[in-house]
Amino acid sequence: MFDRGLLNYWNRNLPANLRDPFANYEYKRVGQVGVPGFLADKFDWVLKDEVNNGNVLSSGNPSAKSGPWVMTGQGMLGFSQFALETAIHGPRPMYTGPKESVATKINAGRLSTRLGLAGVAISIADGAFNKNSWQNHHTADVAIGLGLTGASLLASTATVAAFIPGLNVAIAVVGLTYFALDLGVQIFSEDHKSINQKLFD
Amino acid sequence: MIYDFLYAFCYQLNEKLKSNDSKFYAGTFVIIVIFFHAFFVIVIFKSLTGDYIEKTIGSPSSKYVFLPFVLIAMWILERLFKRRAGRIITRYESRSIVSMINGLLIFCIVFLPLLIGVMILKK
Repeated sequence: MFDRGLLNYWNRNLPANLRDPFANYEYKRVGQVGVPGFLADKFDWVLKDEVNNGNVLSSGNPSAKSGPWVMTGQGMLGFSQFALETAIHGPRPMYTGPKESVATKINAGRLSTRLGLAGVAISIADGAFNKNSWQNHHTADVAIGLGLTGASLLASTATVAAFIPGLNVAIAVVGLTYFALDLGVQIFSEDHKSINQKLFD
Repeated sequence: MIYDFLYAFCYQLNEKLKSNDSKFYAGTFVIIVIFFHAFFVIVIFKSLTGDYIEKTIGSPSSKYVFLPFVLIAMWILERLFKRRAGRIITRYESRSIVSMINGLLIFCIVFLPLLIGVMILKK
């Protein structure tokens, strides 16, 4: 079997409708659908007329033996055909455009607020315990953290959210990027100083 | 308790601004204030005891050393105020505490300890 090629074997032995799941279907106009302003033609995959009338298409080589490979192939193709049928004719939601997730907004707001809060807290802890006392970069860190927290609070209000949708997510991304960048700079730079230390001290 | 008042103020302010997560932001505000007050207490303790803290626990090599402690404290305080939220909101439900005078008072409660702490450290 493998000498002649599996695909070749399948092509010669499987019924036509299993070789091609669309063999018994044709894509044609099935009616009209009303869209605002005009009527549009509606197209769909439907069974061919001859199949509908009982004249099933060629079922392949009648002398072919149904070995285990053929049966497995038939099963797989049958399942694919079922999946295809479901995909084409199955139920769909009426609205398929972009969706706004309230949970995403709330979680993004919470993430950016927590980032800001953590930034403020570690800065004041560093300022309190550092041997060099309070430095300019601590003030900058606290200001950035409070700004992030305040911005995410404002972005959660109905007025701001109505004017700039998705601002919560944007602030969360900016906060996360700054946090990761600051940590990366501190770890990988030669003097192990944070961004604000380099800028303000 | 002063923190309950701060929570209620921030909650009512958020409700007025039509925030979609008023309880969370009120809790966050109170956590920030608690951190500021803790900073003030540490600074006062440090100024009274000299270099006792530095000799005991040393000086941090990076500010991110504090991150695990901060995250744990945030988690505990968030849970605490989530549990207390209902009681606080009910207590202040009947009257509106969002006013200019209360706002100024809260500004002092929040930022004065931080400013005084920074001034002591910079002295």
